[in-house]
Formats: sequence, structure tokens, C-alpha cells
Amino acid sequence: MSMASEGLTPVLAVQEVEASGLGAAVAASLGRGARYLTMAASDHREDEGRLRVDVVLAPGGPGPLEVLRLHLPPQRAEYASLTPILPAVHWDEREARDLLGVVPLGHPDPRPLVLPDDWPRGLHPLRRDVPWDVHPASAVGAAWSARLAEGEGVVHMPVGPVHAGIIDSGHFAFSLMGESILHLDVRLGWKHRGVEKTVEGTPWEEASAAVERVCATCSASQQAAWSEAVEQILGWPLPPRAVWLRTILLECERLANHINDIAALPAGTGYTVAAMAGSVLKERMLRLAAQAFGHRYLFGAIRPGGVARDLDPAAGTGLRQGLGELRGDLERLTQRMLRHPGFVDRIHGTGVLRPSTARDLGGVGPVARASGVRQDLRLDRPYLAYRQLAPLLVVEEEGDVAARLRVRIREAAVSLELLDRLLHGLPPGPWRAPAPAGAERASGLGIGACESPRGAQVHYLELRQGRIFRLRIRSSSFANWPLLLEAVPGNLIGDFPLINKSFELCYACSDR
Amino acid sequence: MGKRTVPLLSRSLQLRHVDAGSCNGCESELAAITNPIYDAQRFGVDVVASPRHADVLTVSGPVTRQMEEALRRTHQAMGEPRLVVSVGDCAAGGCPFAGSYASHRGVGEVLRVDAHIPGCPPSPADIVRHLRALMGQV
Ligand code: SF4
Repeated sequence: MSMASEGLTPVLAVQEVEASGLGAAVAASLGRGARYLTMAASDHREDEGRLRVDVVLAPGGPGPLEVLRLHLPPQRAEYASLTPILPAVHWDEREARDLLGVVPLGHPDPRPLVLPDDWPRGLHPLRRDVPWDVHPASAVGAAWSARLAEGEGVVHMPVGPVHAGIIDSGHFAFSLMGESILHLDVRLGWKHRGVEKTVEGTPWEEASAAVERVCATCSASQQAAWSEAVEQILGWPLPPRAVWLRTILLECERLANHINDIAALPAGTGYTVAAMAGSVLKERMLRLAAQAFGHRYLFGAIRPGGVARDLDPAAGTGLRQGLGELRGDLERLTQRMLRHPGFVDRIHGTGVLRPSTARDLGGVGPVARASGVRQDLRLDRPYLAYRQLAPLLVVEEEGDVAARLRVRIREAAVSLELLDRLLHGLPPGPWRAPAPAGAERASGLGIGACESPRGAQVHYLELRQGRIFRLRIRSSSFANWPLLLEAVPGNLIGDFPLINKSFELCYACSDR
Repeated sequence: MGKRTVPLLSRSLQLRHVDAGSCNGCESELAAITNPIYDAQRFGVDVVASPRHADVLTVSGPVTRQMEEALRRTHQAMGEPRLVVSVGDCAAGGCPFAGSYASHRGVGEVLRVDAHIPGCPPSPADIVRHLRALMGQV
């Protein structure tokens, strides 16, 4: 995305800070209206004799992304945890402690996040001297220490990692008083595949197929953020047609997800007719995607420098027509849902995420916008075709299941509108630009970000001699998991599936 | 395709699914087989909420080390006869992350696999076709 094509405007501003000054630097940046984007620890012992932690923030207005950089000696890789002043980094800090042995002193949660509880202490798989395929004998993840509420009459109910339906693996620990949920804890990491270690050392030209398989439902967003990071490092501007096509792909993905998430809610209340009608609309959307771009989940669609294939005129017309038909059917379905008294009764006032909680914990995407958070990267830092065609910002204030549903319904309509204009105005010309000279040996840091269907998707990428030195993927679901834990207590256990579906968090990209 | 068919299961196949480290693409397609378009129930195929009710264990993903134990226990909880079907290229060892510190190289390293459904992901139509083959219906 073409922040890199802005010519002389620097894209990143790196500022080195002392361990003792990191908190103050982050607080100052937040005080100027900046927003936290991602954090990445990396192992630079080979050449610099130290470890590195980069905290990345987007300034309140235009201007380069701020990278606050901390160097840590390997024998004392510690710093004062940022979680107390920036709760959004809560899970990032746990992950960095697991994978790189960078210790946030005073962090409120000492437990591992992505590695199993019985993983050997001191073995940090993203340290560069740890072999990619190290297989310690323990570490099968059988047990974990859930945080539970205690007291007379309190019942503990573990659920997962295997679930009754066809969903991803994860473990919930409920503390119940009768049917009321007092407390919820979650254990993820079951799907941790070692994605980031696996791609280390891979030439950037060969990494796209792995990157797009981190998560199918937000694959195009992964591809877009990844490609932007590569293009930023290489200084590789996109031709206008590629900019447009990429935006079309991202909006198609948003639409498929929003339809899926809209249809998932009636399923959570036993309103089967609407759930089934919604599943048919989702299928139609996946087929439109496959006809236009060759894959139902858009694998292999976006590549650094542009897109992987052109959209031929007949396919473009077919897509536009198909979307037009979908629009009417989706409208009819959602209107019917919002008139169903039983359904409406279940979703109102259920699973309330307070606006202050959403803001303080760094919520993203439709979940945050349904709690009044006015944030959308498409508008806050316009990229691709959003520079010319700004989508409408959709915000609701109530923060309940109904508000999250309404945000998705309204955003789906905005996407359909946007897609119609994009397909109508698709500029001619090449859909991919040749790589700049020396691309195969490029080095540098790039940060790609886009607004995926579930919120900010951020790829932090360091290349060395054309190969991946460090890739950290911070997905929208990773940002929103801690919010779910705040919205659930006080509700009935029978409403949990409904609340959970209204967040519709992904495990695959959170665990990696 | 099914290497082993069980006559008892030719008219009704109850599935229990375990995600053992997928990208969720295989789950999305598997969930679609019971939508009104593919309607796998008309062939006697359904998804059940307990391994104790299931004839077939479908598994996606390369089998992460953390899911190994849960996968084994789910399999053990099923009654006989029981079949294991790996779904998607990852489950057959084709996952880009297979063999890392966190992951096996497919379901075959953990359980005996009776049939495999290839694809990344296999489409709902592919899944239904393979399950019907397993039942001896096609
Ligand atoms: S086979 Fe493909 S779709 Fe299925 S889990 Fe693997 S990468 Fe995802």
C-alpha cells in the first residue's frame, strides 16, 4: 500500500529509548493522541549482542509511524512492563516472554500465552540459536492453570479445547454461580504452529503462500498487510489498477466475513431459519469470490507489487451483478432478523462491552466500533483506494450483541456500495509492477497495516539480504480476545455462545 | 478416498470434528456441508456434539503438539467401529508449518488414518463426495 510510494515522506520514525525511559516515551506518545499498533521482540545477539523490543504506534494525525526501540542485554533481558500504562500490550508482552525470553517486570499475568505450561523454562523458540524443529520431550499442553473465582456455591466449568460444533480449538474456564457467569478465563495457544519461526530465513518472494495460510477467513488482509510491509522496505509503488483490485479483494473479504458473522448470531439463539438463509448468502459470496479471483478464501490473490492475477472484464461484470443480487437478499434477511421479537429480545442488553473498556484495552474493528470507539484504519490512515473513496464510519454506542450485529449489517451495506464504485471505476493498465532493482537482496524494516473484517491487522517485517529476519503478525482477534473476557461476566451461561459469536474471534491468527 | 468402508455405516455417518491447528479454512468448508445448498443430512451425514455419538473423527491441521493429547483422547472416547478422516492438505502433512517446534507433520503421525480428503481447503462438494464414498454410496 503505497505509503512507500509517497516519495520523500518517511514511513517510519525510529526512536531509541533506555529501558528506564520506555514507559515515559510510550505515555508521551499516547498523550499526543497516538494509537498502539503492535510490538515485536527480536534476537539481535549475533550482530549486536543484544535483544530488541520495538513498540509501534500510529500518530493521531498524519505522519510516520512511531517505533520506540529498546535494546536489552541477553543476560538481563528485562524492562518495566508496559501493561499498567497500556493494557493493550498485555498479551503481546506475554507472547514475547514465551518466544524470546524478554521479561516484562511487574506484568500482572505470569502464565505462558502461546507455549504449553510444561514447555521447558529458558527455551525460547524464537531465539535464533534454538533450532526450528526442536522437540522437547515434555510440552504436550495437557494442563494449564486457569484463573477461577472461588466461594461457596461457585461451580467451575471447563470447556474445550475440542468443541461440540465445527470451530477452532480453544479452552474456556467458567466460574459460575447458578447460571450466572462470575468469571471467564481463556487459554489459547492450542493452534500455535510456529508460523513466525518457520518463515524466518525464507526469501520474501517465497513467503506469500505461508503467510496467506495463517488464517483463511482474513487471508486477503494478511496478504495485503504482508505485501505492504515488503513494498515499504523495497520502495515499490503500486500501479493504480493494482491499488483498486487489492481494495476490491479486501472489501470482498469483509463482506464474506460480515455475512458469516451476521448469520452466526441467529444460530446462537436457535433461530435456524435465519441462520440457514444466512449460510446460503455466505456460500453465494464465496462462489462469487472464487469465480472472480480463483479461490473461495482468496488464497493466492495478492502479491508484493500488485495482485497475483487480473480481473477480466467478464468476471468483473459477473461479480458486480452477483453483488447486486446479494445486496437485496441480505437486506431482506437482516430486516427480518431485526423484526423477530424472540431474537431481538435475546440480543439486546446481552454481553455489554463498555465503551471505556473497549478503549482502554485497545479494542479494534466492529467490536470496538459497536462500543463507540471511532476507529477504522481505512479512515484514520487511508491506504489503497480508500484515499479516494472514503468509506462511511459505522459506530454504535450500546456495546451489546445487538450493537455488534448492527455495526456488521451497516458495514456490509457500506462494503457493497464501495464495491460497486470500485468495480465501476476500475482503472486500466498493469496490475502488477516489476520489483525494483536489488529487491532480492533488500534489507530493512517495514510495517504493513490494514483494517481487516475484524479490525487492525499489522505485519512487522524485518528483511535481511532479501530474507525474512523477523515477521510478527498481530491480528485483530489477538487484540480483541481480552475484551471478550470483560463482556461475559454477569451474563447467563446460556448466552455465552451468543456473546462469543458476536465477537467472532479467530484462534488461528491469534495462535499462529 | 476411503480405503476402508464399514457396511454398518453405509446409510448414516455421524461426524465429530477436531481442529488440530488449521487456518480455519477447512472448518469453514466443513461447516458448509450442512447448509441448505449441500445438505449432507440427506445422505445420512451429520455433525454430532459428542465423540461418544460419532462414527467418524474428522481432523484438520498438521496436529500441533498442544492438540495431540486432546486429539488422542477424543479418538479414544469414540465407540467402535470408528474411522479417522483427515481433511485438507495440512492434515496430510502439507502444512507450510509442519515439523516446526510446535507441530507434527499431519494426522498420520498421531492416529491411523482411514481416509483423506485433499484440497486447500477441500470444497464442501468435495467433502460430501468423499464422505459418501466412505459410506460406499458412490
Ligand atoms: S489445508 Fe489449507 S485450508 Fe485447510 S487448514 Fe491447511 S491451509 Fe487451511
